Amino acid sequence: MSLALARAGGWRIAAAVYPFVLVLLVWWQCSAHGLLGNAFVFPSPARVWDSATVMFADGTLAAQTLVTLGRVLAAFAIAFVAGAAIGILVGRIASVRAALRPLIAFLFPTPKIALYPAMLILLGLGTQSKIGLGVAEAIFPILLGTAAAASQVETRLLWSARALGTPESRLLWRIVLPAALGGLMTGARIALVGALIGVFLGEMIAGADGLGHMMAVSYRTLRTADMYVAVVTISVVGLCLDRAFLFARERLLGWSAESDFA
Amino acid sequence: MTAADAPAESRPNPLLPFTGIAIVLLVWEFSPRLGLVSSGSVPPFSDVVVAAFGLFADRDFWGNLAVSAGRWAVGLILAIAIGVPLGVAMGRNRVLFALVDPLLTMSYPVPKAALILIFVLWWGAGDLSRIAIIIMGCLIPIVISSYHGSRAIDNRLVWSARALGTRSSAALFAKIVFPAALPQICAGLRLAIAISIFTLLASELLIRQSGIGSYMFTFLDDGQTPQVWACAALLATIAFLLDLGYVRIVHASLRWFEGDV
Repeated sequence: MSLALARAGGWRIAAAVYPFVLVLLVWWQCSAHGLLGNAFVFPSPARVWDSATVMFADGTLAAQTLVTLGRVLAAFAIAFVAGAAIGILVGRIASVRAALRPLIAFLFPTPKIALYPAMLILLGLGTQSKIGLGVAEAIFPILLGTAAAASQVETRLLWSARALGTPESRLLWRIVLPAALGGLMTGARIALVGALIGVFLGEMIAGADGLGHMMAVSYRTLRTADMYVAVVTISVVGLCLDRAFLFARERLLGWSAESDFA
Repeated sequence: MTAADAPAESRPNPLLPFTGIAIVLLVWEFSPRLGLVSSGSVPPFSDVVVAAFGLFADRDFWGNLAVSAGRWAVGLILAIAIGVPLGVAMGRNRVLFALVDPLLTMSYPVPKAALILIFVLWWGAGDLSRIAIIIMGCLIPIVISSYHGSRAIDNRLVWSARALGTRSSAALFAKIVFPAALPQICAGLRLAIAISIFTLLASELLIRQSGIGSYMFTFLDDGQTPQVWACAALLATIAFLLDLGYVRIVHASLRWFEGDV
């Protein structure tokens, strides 16, 4: 039994490490043989690592990462609260649903990035427009996940709670919110990566700081190795956020079947 | 989610859907006119409509839209051609799944559109980079949905087909696996359509050379605010109509399929 468990654990570790090893190997081999271009347009992992250590030593890498991370978390927090609140209203109150459905149906499939130039005009070139794009990317998965789950709360649960003396004002916290939590968290996982991508692209397209801006400036000043540093850093940040979110969701939803999803 | 399973006690007023839209448009129209927001940053809705008709008369608008649409179609078709067979094969072959799935999980949070800067270094700013970035952008949902679709197949279907004489795996794939996985694949394609448009526009905003994204950004650079809003609204509408049209077509053509696309 313990052997089987250990073997399963070994497989899990191998599966977790393998893609990074593979990507590094392919990257290293392609750059060594100049398959996608010379060392200028496609530097080796070692050169990119050197750039990263230089940028880490003078503090720019950590500073820019923190700027981006702060914006991502701000956008995610806003989208989480607003999306959950609107989602509960849409899921529970038929008139709200009827009023908002055409708007949501219109905005959900649209590429929010198309609205970014308008956001730049409205919110300026600073942090606000980046958070704006992050929120726009993140809010719909949360809203729709919450609304779908909230609309399917078993009516019997509400009856039982009422019969047992739960006041109307507390039904939301005691029954509806816990029942909608699974849908909320499923949407929130997509939303977290959406916020990250929105903020990063927003910084790339127009801005003065953050990892995205770092990548765009490196492109314009032809410091190509630094571009790879930016892409790798944002990807690692995204992976860590996603893992951290899964861990938190596991803790929060340990009691429900929803936590079975990896 | 239909109105039938709404938890409401009474049917909502049938006019409500229109009031939601009407309120948004009225706020958009009157908040700049009443000075609540600067009309320099948010032009009234009517000005944006006028600007939109101006765009319709502009040959460059249609030219750039056609360039973007061409890249989008080629990229999406190639992504489907790669992603669907890969995903279905992953569903039928555990080794392939074990090899490919960790790579997809790792690349999931990577902002694919940002890679356009690197692709431009490799292949220049032409169509090759643009198409490659669209494939990168929308491959994951296509592969994942095809995988889940082919996983969900009732094995008895496969056994029956074998028993009835379908021997070659190609025939098995074409006659059993693919049709059974089709509803899930179609659901994934809906996501892929949205993501591919997003990736295309983001890459055109990042590397501006041609295409509707760079066309929109020239208005921003020139400070022609109503045109920027008109472009954004038109692109949003086009994406919405594509989504709507896709859902309609899928529902009309997959009659055995029940549930949401």
